[in-house]
Amino acid sequence: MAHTQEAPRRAWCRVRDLLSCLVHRLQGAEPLSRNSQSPDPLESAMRIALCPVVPSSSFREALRRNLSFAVQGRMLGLSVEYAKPFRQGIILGVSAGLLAAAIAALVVVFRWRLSNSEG
Amino acid sequence: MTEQDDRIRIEAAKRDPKAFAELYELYVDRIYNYIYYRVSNVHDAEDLTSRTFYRALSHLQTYEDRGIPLSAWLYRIAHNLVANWHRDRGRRPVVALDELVLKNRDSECPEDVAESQDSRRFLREGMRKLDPARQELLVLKFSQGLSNAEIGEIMGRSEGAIKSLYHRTLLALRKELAKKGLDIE
Repeated sequence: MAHTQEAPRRAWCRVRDLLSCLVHRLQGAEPLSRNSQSPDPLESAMRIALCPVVPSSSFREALRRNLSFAVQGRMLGLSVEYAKPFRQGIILGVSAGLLAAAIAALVVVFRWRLSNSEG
Repeated sequence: MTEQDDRIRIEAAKRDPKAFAELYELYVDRIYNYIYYRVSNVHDAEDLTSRTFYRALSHLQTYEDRGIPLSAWLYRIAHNLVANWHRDRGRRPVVALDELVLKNRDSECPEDVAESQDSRRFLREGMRKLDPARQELLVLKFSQGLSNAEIGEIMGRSEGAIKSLYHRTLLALRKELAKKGLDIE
């Protein structure tokens, strides 16, 4: 159903873009004089500059999957929370790793000193 | 889509994961598109799009009380998240055009591509010099193709106010572009 409703919008966007392109080209060749009915060139340029972008399919799929889990969790009475972004996850992971390494180094040094003092 | 349709969709989405997935499919491109042009980089656009839908999911129960179309409600959530993002980062957006997945428009007018890459960049840079409300208006108008009335619902202003703001925005944008030596007439 979502696709059937999205299709006309996409088709309209495409037609609008093509028309915008056509007017742009005709104006360049000067067969079409500008009058009050013709679109403002700045508006046409903005339409092109802000042309539609789409998210990557991998992102779409991943978000769809995560939201689906979240909806199911919500139905089971669990709270819905947005997972930490990947970048923050990396920072947290690296921080935790560094902390663990520092603690391990301290333990090794401490043991080494202890064994030296006993020896 | 009428408010009645929205209400039916929302009620279904509260109970059925598939119904929420349909809502997601219906709006994800538009919300991503809107956010992308407000933050200008793919990573943050993806992050904020995710947050928008998670927030929508967690606030589904309160939707009915708001009395605005579902699309406007989603745009408002996205707008608030983008505003927070700008406030938290306290920075001007950075363009990452190489990461863009553009719809296949360029193949229609190859000569436009050659002549307008720089113009597009200048236009987007000019737009970013405008205040946030004007940027939002331009994105909703040109990237989303919304009418003044629809934009008014999203921005919480009357249609007349949007029309007036739009007029002033174009004047301000022309001024910004003129500073850069780009005269679009």
